[in-house]
Amino acid sequence: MNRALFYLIIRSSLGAIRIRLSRLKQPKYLFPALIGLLYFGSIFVPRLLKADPALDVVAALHEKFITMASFGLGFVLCYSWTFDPQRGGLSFSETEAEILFAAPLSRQELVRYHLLRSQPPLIFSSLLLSLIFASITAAPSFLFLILTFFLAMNLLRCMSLVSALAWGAVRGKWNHWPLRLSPPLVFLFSMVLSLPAHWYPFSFSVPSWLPESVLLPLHMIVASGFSATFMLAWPGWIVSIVWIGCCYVACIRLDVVFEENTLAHAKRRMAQQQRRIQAEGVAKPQKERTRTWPPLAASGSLWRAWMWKNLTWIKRTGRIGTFAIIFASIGLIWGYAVISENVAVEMVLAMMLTPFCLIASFLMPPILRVDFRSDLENLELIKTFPISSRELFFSLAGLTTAITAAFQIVLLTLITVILYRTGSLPTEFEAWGLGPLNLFLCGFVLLPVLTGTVVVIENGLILWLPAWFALKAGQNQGHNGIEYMGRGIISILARTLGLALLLLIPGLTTALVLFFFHDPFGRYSLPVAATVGACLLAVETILIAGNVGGLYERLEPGSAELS
Amino acid sequence: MIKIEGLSKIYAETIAVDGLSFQVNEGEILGLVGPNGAGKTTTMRCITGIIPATSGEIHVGPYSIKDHALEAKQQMAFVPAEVRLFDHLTVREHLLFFQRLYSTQESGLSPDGLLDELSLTEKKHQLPGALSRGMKQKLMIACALIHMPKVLIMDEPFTGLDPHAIRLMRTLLEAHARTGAVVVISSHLLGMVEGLVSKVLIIQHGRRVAYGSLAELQDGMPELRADAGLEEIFIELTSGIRQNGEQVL
Repeated sequence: MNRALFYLIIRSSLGAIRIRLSRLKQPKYLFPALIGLLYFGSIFVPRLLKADPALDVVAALHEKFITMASFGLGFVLCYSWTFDPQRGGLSFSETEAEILFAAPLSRQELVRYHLLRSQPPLIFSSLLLSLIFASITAAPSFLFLILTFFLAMNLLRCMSLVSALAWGAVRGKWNHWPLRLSPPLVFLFSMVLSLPAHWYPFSFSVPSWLPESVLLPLHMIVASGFSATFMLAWPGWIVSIVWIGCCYVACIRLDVVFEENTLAHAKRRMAQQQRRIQAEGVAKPQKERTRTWPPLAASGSLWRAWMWKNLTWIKRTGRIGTFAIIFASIGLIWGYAVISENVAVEMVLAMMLTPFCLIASFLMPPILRVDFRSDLENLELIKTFPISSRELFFSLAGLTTAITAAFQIVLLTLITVILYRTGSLPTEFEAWGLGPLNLFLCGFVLLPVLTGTVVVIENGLILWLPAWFALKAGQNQGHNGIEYMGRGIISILARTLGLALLLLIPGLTTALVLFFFHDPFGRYSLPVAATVGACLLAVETILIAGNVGGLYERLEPGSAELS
Repeated sequence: MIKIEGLSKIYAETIAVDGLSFQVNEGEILGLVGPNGAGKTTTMRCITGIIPATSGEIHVGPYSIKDHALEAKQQMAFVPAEVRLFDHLTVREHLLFFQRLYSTQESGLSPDGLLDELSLTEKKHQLPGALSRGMKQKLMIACALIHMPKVLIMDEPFTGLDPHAIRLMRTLLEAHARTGAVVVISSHLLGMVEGLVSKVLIIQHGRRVAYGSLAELQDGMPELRADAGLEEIFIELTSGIRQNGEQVL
């Protein structure tokens, strides 16, 4: 390892620790850190003290563990093959690229630096995982468990890197979507085929060699790598270390040009974005961080700009693909599990969609980048726009709500159609006035308002006290760990409390309407009561949104910066 | 000291640099000027080996950047246009890191002396986040100078500096060139470039439009008055009249 790079890693780590400790002098960092520490300690320390060596869950689930880990490894490899190649596997920050690429450092040294740079976070993660799993594994010692997790995570990381680098090498010659999608499709296909035969809803004989030919290599890797790491103590570690060594050699050998790294890729993407902005003729090219909606919003087309910004962001981060794969996998497994119990396919679909439709109010806005605090980075520019702060907030919240609500209504319609077709609702539901149409009407009026309320509460909190609340991880770089956990807990508590308070009056009113007007409205009393509740909630939300919008005016640029 | 022959860089369908050739000798300061998007930064990045050239030859002293990258890079230092510093290293640690990176703990400049010269001594234990834009720029220049490079390449080095710092920087660059080093700077501050450089390379659309000393450029443009400055020459060469990119000198 180059001495300079070693110096950089060590000094940077010490510098980061020093910053974290020194900023604890400020209450906005101290309180979240204390709360996070209390939470962490209260959950994991008792487990550690009460660890029962006889309760070795990992050993008990050995067979299933190998299968699950094979799927997990396959997923990671497919993901890095499909999405990570955009960064060529070896991602460097622009500072690293500008300084280190211009320095007399060989490719091997840069690869080693890249791998070594990730070790401090991996050590911390190993410590955390060891605390979590200490009570359910028969590890001889806590140190043993830390080392085991450390090796397993390094193995996973190396495999992921090799996969991404391999794609980088292949892409140099052939770059097209069929090649990019074929490994995930083959993996998905093999996953389906490897399910037990009785799970299939139709008669289908799967040749045993077919799934095995795909999954066997993964099984072998897991069995000889991960599984051995966990089961066989130091002999397993040796196997893992050998695997890591092989991956390392592969990283060195794969001759991927560094041009395919973050720097060049980011520059190319930025140039594409700028050309697009220029093509639209609405704004001059801006810097990377301000290239999205503020320049466009200056032209007055706020809604279009906001939509474009969100879509760009979603596309850039590949979140739709990630979520689609996650939900498809969950749905597939759950679906087949239920089918094996001879439940109608439509009903399985309805069962899958119903909870997703309900929790979309909480899940979708983050996918749509609901954290308006990120726009505070551009506050200096925003404040110069001829748009009132209330209008700004309503636009931001309104569009997020509208997109989420449209998605929910599509799901709701689908569920209603399924329920009508199958007629599978229990008779008690009908007796209570909970027919498919009534459920649809209730959802139709309640869900959009609920989504709007959630968006307003969450963003109201972060605009009110930007340094105290967090909506999602990674929003503020360098803020993670115990302190971020504490901030997350504070945020969840505040959000829950806010939502509960806002729901109090509409909830009570809905109950009263249902109680007193049940007879005159008959079976439609529930939708009527829901409408009254939704209207009240909407009024509350609009009143709060108006006040929260005013916060933009009072905020000073830079107030969102935590460090 | 630096010899570029037929340098081209193509991004997908965009030709950033198109067959650029020039040479800078020891002790010379070259001003690389051109409109926005002309390919100045790409040229500098190719020379420093940050990105590979699509075609062409780049020689730094006896070393080709393609075949002997490490030896060539050992001779060079690059100051990018944007501030690029490590968030968690202090000012002094940056200099120590660069000393180690180029293995010049013994032969290079003293970090404390350089910090003193650039008026950064008071900030030596601060992190970059606590520095102003100008101070960060000074630190980047200090990092580049710490190992006494034979080739110093600077992209917009005067951005963010106050008049005192600019004067100091000019003195430093001139002194560095007098030691026999090659200095290549790109800047839009043409008045400043004019008084500092010994040669000027004007590029547009990735191609060489003019190359030579200011006197040579003036001689090559009889339509301008005899004492025309670099700004006038630049405007004349890069305006619509001569946008075909032909080499005039």
